[in-house]
Amino acid sequence: MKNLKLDAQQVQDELTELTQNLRKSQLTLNSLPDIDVASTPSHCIYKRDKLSLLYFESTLPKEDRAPHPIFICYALVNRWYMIDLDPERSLLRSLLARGLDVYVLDWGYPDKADRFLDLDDYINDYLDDCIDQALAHSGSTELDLMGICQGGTFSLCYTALYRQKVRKLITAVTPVNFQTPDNMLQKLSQHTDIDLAVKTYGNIPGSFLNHVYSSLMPMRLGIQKNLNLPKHLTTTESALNYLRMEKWLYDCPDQAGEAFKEFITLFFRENRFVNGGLTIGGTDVNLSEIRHPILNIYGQHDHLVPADSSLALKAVCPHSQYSELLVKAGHIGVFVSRKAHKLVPDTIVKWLAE
Amino acid sequence: MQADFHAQLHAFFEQQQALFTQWLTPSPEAFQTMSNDQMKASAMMASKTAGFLKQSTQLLEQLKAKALDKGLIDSLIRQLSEQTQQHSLDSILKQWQIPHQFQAAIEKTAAQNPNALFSTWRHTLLFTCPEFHAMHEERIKAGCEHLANYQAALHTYIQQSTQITESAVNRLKHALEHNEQPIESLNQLHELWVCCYEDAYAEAIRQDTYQQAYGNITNCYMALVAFQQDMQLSAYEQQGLATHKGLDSTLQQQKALHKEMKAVKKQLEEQRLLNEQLTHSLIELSQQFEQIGGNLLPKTSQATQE
Repeated sequence: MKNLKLDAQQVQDELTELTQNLRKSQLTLNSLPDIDVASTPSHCIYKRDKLSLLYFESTLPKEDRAPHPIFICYALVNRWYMIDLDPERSLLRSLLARGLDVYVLDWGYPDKADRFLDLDDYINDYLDDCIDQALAHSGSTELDLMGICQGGTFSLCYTALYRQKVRKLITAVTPVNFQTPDNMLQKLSQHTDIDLAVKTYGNIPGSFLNHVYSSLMPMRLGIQKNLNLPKHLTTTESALNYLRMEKWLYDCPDQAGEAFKEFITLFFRENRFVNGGLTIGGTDVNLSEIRHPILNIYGQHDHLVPADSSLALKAVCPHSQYSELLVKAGHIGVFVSRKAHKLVPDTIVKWLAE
Repeated sequence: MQADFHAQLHAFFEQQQALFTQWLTPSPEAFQTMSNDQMKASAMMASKTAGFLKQSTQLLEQLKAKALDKGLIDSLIRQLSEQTQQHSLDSILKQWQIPHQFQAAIEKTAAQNPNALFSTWRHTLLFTCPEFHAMHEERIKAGCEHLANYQAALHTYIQQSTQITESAVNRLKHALEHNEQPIESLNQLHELWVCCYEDAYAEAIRQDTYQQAYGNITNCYMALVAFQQDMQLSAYEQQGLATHKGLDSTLQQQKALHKEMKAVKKQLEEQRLLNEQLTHSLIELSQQFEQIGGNLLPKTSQATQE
């Protein structure tokens, strides 16, 4: 082991630093304000069952705003406020400051009563209803749709089904080909009996999904993350950043059982975007019929939705006016990293204005 | 120099001790000002770093006593490996934590003898749920089978997990021998260990044997929970109590009705559009007829037009 060159002084210095960081962290935690997230002011313009449709008005004067609003459809997994975690690095605020009026669909927290909701309900009913509400509220006849992660998968289905309501489509960290060789989530879950999961739990608990996500990188997201805690908590600013993210990570709603089963079966198991034969609510969903301009944003280091999974979009939408944006970040970093903070909203706004 | 070092070490130990004492006996005011989030973070930080500090302090003492030799390196690697294996086991047991009644049975059954397990588990069930008196033996046997399947799946998964740790250790040893960059700090060593482990894990996760082991433990665990729920359900039904099965059935019916209503609404909307188109066509046709002197428009359509 010729390369291991530890000496007592070095180890002692490190331990002293760790102890000092621990002390600082404790002091920081003692004086930390509440962990605030989703701090951008909004109006709830529509409520139905568990969902809410939030309207965020651009901070620019009306005459300087984009002519069409943007509608953001987040995943059913985790919560929409990942785009508004921290006021300093909020994608939402950046879009508002650049003249976009934004509608965000907050899916809420499904409970036992939602056990039998399926993808037809989510896409043809809830999403379509909310888009109609946004169109009526904004006075537009079409809007720009942005889908994030699973919300991107929904948005692709929606655009194929309701072409006339969507002007331009943005997909962000969106899985399209669910069976790329580096799709660890697919590999880890392929022998799990989904029928049994739904029979056992009804709705799939958020904590169940969190365990699966942690299982993708158990050391880095386990021991290593915990050991690095003191480093993250030494100052108020870094502690707030860290704890906001933790709050979001563990704010994982349960998944409506039927919709979850359908999503796993149609996409993870049968890869219907790529293999074809996708139907939602009895209607064929054919992505090759999408002729809209599409901006596909993906993360180079995304371990949840590998870049290749997102990049498959170009091939399955051959008639769209396709463009893409590579962000050198992971799944969440695409929205919250310093690298992405300017790049992503600038690109979106410029592309929408083209 | 040696005296200085001793003094520093002593100061460091005192500092550490003071810090942990402060954590263990915090002032009530400190907790009053902390929210739940902060308290959770504080507790996690204390528990996770305490073990690391303890081990590192032991290493420091050993390093102080003698230079880094093979024995010390082996001991260091063993510590990392054991710590990781323990963490993996904790995670496994947390993720697939056996339902309470089954756990009680297992705790009372030291050996994995199915007969002993059967009788102990049966006793536990009868003790905790008297309704099971009425249950058929076969059903209890089925429960035992679920439990045995779970134990076998857990055993296989733990074997996989151990193999991953062993592979990570080999990778670490190889890296320490062959990498160009020397490891000069604990942080660097830990980072290298994490990389080796994640590489070994990523390789394992691509193998069907690991995927099957993961799927199997997940399925066996869920089967066990589902079985327990079924037994509870039977017991509730025997008592004439409402169950989630009844609620699910109602929800399913409501859902079916909702879908039917949606389909009817869609049909009505399509009919309305067709009617509109028809009326529009009739009006156009009527106007054309009027131009040539006839009148085709029915009375209702005339009224609509007016």
